[in-house]
Amino acid sequence: MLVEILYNEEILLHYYKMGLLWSLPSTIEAGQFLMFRVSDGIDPFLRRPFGIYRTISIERGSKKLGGVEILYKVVGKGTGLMAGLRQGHKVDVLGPLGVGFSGFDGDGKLIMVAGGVGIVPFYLLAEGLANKDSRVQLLFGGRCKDDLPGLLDFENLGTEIKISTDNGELGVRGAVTELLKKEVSDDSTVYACGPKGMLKEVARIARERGVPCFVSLDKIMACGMGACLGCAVKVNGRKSRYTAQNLSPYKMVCKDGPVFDAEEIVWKEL
Amino acid sequence: MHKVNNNISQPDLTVNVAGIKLKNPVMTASGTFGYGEEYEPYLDLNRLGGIIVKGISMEPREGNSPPRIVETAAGMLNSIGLQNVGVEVFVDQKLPFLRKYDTAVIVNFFGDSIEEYCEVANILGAVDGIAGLEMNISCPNKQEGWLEFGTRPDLTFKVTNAVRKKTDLPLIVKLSPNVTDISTIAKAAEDGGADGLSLINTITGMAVNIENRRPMLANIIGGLSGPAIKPVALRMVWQVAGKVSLPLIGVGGIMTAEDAIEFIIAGASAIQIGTANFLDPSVSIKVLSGVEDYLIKNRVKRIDSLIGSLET
Repeated sequence: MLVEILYNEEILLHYYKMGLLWSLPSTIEAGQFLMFRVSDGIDPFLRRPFGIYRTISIERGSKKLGGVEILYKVVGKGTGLMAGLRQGHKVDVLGPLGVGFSGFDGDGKLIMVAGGVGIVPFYLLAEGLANKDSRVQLLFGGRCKDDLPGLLDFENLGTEIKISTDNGELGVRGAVTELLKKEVSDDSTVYACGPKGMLKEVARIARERGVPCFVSLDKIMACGMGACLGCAVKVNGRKSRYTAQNLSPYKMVCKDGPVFDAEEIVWKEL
Repeated sequence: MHKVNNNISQPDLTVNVAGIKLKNPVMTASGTFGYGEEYEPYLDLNRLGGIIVKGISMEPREGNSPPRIVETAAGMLNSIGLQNVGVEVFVDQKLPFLRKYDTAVIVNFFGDSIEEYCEVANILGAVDGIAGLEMNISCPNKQEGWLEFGTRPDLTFKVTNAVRKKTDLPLIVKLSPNVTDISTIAKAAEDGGADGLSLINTITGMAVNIENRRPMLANIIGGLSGPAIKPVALRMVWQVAGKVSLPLIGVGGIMTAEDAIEFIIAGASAIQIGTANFLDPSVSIKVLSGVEDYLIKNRVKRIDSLIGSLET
């Protein structure tokens, strides 16, 4: 689907927010993503998956129009080209795709653990829970203070935030997982998105404390809809309900995820 | 969406391939279109000439360890490892969905022994809603030191001939391009009793991560697909067209109607769209419309007359 770029702005060094004029028919789940075609041609060849950061609405003339915002980090050729796209340009997107976060039932405390650009799936969640009675906390880690994209948005929502940076520029010095160790309690549910090493450690802490943990995974994918079977992730043994056969130990990040129960993932093979 | 031009009558797009009557020559390639249901939100499956479903084996296959795919220049490498649900689950849970559509369902299948090929073909031949079979012979043979069937004429003949005796369904053999002379293999499949040939499967390749000096794919080697392989596929279609009398189905890097028409002119009776489905899930319908436009513009009344019309 071709949609118009409303804005594409650098919010921090290497971090951008792009607004798309795209009124989505269904409610978006926090953690869902879209597949973005960076080039009209074949270089780069594949679409790129991007988490949906939030929904926006704009006024054009007398009309109110809906849109979505993605927050991305420039890491290579594809995202480098994206950063150069201008307002008014039309881009080809597919979505919303995948299964988002849903393990938190409102009881106890929800701890969202984000590393850098891993903040993306949490805005919709925090926004949805902002005026409810639920206890919600964001633990946000980055290398430095400029590695915490969207921090202001969460401050504006009034989310309870604890920050860590590797160099101690902002918040406590060290890994965000150290914050988790302090904040986690028996009634916590943990959601996490960020680098692989961080996710592994979050899953380990949650398991040790016996609390539910859900993680959003990132994998190279070609189609985004469960057809190419490229974004496989190994899960613990499953049996078919129909035939008692062992099912494939692989699930697809695009269709079965990107959010998974941490207990399901075979972490040593991720 | 559908262009109507009242001055020129609509061209006849029907083709007969391997005894299967297709409403048009545009099909989707095995392994790039799931079992059809994945793409249902994006296009009207009824408009397709045919759907070739993800390759099926006797038992479910779990597939290879990740990473399974990597992007390359004008294409991608994959080593999915033939992950599939197995023939039983396919027939019980996937085929009923496909039966609802007025499009030819062609089932891609494989095995690691001649017996397994025969067994799967036998089961598929006994169920309703299958227009034909596409046999993947780019699969290692456990009785021959895991050598791929499709790399040797004698093995190609043997497996084709054995399966031929097990099924009355139209049998299309999908050829591997990773051979010295593809027309020899094509001839062996024809002699073995194939009704048609699909060409080409992916071309083997690899990619290296220079930071950690490791292969980009866990399997090290994968299959290259996408526009990068189109000239090779086209060349092979043309070469084989001159050597066998079977109908050919062209596949390899087709992204546009122009690509599809090139294959038809070179000798393909129909075409398959593969990797392009990943970039644009409705690309097959765009290719179909483009082929139709080309026929109208060039006053070609029947697509049949375009097949193999290359002037040399």
